[in-house]
Amino acid sequence: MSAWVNKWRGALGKTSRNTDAPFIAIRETRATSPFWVMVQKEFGDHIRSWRFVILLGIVTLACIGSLYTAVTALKDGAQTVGGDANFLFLSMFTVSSNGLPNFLTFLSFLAPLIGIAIGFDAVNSERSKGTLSRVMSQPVHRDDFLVAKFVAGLLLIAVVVFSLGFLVMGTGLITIGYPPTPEEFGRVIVMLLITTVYVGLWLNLSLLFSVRFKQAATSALSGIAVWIFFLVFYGMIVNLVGNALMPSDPSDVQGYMDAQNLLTLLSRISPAQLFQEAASTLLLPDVRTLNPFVTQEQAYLAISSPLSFGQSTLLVWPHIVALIAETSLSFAATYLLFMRQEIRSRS
Amino acid sequence: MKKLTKPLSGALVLTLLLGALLGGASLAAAAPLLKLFTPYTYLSVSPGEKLNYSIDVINDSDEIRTADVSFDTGSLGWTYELTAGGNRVRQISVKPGESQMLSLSLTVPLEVNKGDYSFKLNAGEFGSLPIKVNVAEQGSYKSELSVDQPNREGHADSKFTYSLTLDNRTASKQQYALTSEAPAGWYVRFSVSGSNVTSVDVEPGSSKSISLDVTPAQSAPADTYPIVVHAASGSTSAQAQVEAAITGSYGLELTTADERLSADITAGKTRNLELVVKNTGSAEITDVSLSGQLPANWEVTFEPKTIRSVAAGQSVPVTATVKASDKALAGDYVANLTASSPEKTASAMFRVTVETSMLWGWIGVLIVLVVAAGIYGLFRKYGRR
Repeated sequence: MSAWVNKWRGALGKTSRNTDAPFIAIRETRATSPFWVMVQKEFGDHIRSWRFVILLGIVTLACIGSLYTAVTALKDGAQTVGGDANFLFLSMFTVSSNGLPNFLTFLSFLAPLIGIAIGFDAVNSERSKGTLSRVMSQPVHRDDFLVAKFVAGLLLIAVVVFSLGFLVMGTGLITIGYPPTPEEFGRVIVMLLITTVYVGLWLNLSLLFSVRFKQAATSALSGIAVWIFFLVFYGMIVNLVGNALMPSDPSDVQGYMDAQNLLTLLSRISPAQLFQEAASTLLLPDVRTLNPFVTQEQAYLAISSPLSFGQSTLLVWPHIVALIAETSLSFAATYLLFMRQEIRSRS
Repeated sequence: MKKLTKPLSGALVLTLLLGALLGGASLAAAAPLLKLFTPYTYLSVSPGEKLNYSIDVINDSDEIRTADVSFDTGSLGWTYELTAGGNRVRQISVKPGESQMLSLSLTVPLEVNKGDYSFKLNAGEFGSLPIKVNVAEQGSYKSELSVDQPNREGHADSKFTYSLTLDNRTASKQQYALTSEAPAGWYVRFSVSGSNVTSVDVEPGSSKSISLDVTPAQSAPADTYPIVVHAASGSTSAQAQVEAAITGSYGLELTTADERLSADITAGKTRNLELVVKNTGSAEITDVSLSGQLPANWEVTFEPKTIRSVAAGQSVPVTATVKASDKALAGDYVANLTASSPEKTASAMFRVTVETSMLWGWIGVLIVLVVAAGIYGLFRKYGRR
């Protein structure tokens, strides 16, 4: 971390003429200002850390595994469930064989780990090493420190997610042999953006824990606990609630539907569920609704045909908004908590 | 003198006898030695017919009598044949107390006037037998084309079939060329025993049945169309007229002004479709009412709701206002719009793409903006200490 501070000081030296200048002058040179230096430093630290290399290895292996299943399934001529032959390229992300999970499932399961691993010791380790107070003694804004942590993490996540996405697309090109249409490409890009936001949410959560808990281990454990809760237990809890809510009378269609709708609403609190629904809807253009029920009235005279890109996006727009809002809110909470904390030289 | 008077008196008697024979059968009391008898002396026939008489020559005397027989057609020149025992005969002998039979066949010519005609069968010195023939109708020397049922009715897209009979009432074999005068665009075909023909050969005195197939022009308006048919040979010709009464064809088409059968609609909103009701037939279509089969909870109204009449070949614009159910799923639905009249029904299948309302999209944007504003507020509050 001393290297961190040294580099930072060097950068500060470059902008030292601004230290006595009025506030506005500092803002003008912000692009090369301490904030971006911090972002760069943070980014570099992550890339070079063993933790990240191991995580990246795990995630990449998982993706290659899912890619392999997708390629096998496609070579066997498998059709995706509810898929369309016109969107063969997209099925690279959604098909699977031999019971192995597909790319999306892997992503929704493992991608949060990247976020948690990047963020869980972001603040509290600096604090325990005493580097936080040293940074803060420099003429940087206090919030820049936290925002730099977040932005660096998000950039890293974006790089990873997009690399994986393009890896799959490249393999798809080799396997299928024809390029994606602009629409398919757009769908994949939007899906990758949603993935970035989703992982950003986990990054923010772990940042929150790292601000809240003094011990890095505690914060890591809390992050992993939340992760396991949403990915493993939350579904079970929703099922339990569902069993309790289901009307005993099997002929009570309205009650059954109400209960089912409530369950859907509950399960959508989980960001993992939101992400999966949003991403899979974007990658399966034939999905026309995300409601658990399609009423007879809605199905009457409907033709099964893929939705346009815009309509698919509009269909999952609430999910995207919810993901962005959840991410923003957890960031706001982190921010609030961090700004209210005291920073001492050695606590 | 006696020798002289004898033939004289004989001639006198003969003259008397002849006079008696010409005068009436009642005078036959002065019986000659050889008598001619046939039961039907006055027959009524049609032109072209052939009459067969059998004539008994009776010998009442006690010696063999021989008579010269001939037939006298006067100036008429009808053809005849006088035979006995299968051969032509000019003289006949009859044993005493016996009779011989003569056959006379007389052909009535085709070209003959209506009326009575008298002939004589002469038996030389034994007198003659008068025969009268009544020609009941005006004879002709011509061809005749007749139609069994000259008037037929049908739609413009049906086929009219008439059966014609061509009679050759001339004395020689004729080859007739068949032509017709039909309106433009009509297709007329002659056929004899299943094969299409343009000319027919007809033996004299016989007839041939010809069938006439008429295919009307596709857009022939309702009317009665006369078609004149000619059969002409070198020397004679005949013509007949048939009628095709067309009730007109009914054709109805429902489409849009630009022939596009797809539309976008936002869930819960309305959309106008510019329809066109087109009468593609040749008859007027009346009382066209418009209806639609749409997904559940969708509504459609038409302006106008009904069309009183659409003239042949004309089209009437109709505006259909479709309102999608606010619970419609995004994606494609089928809407089936129908224009129906008592005569014909037409429908158009629309592919309606439902789009989700942008309202919630903007609300989502608003939520994101509110959150962003909240964070900005936090920045302002805590950011620069």
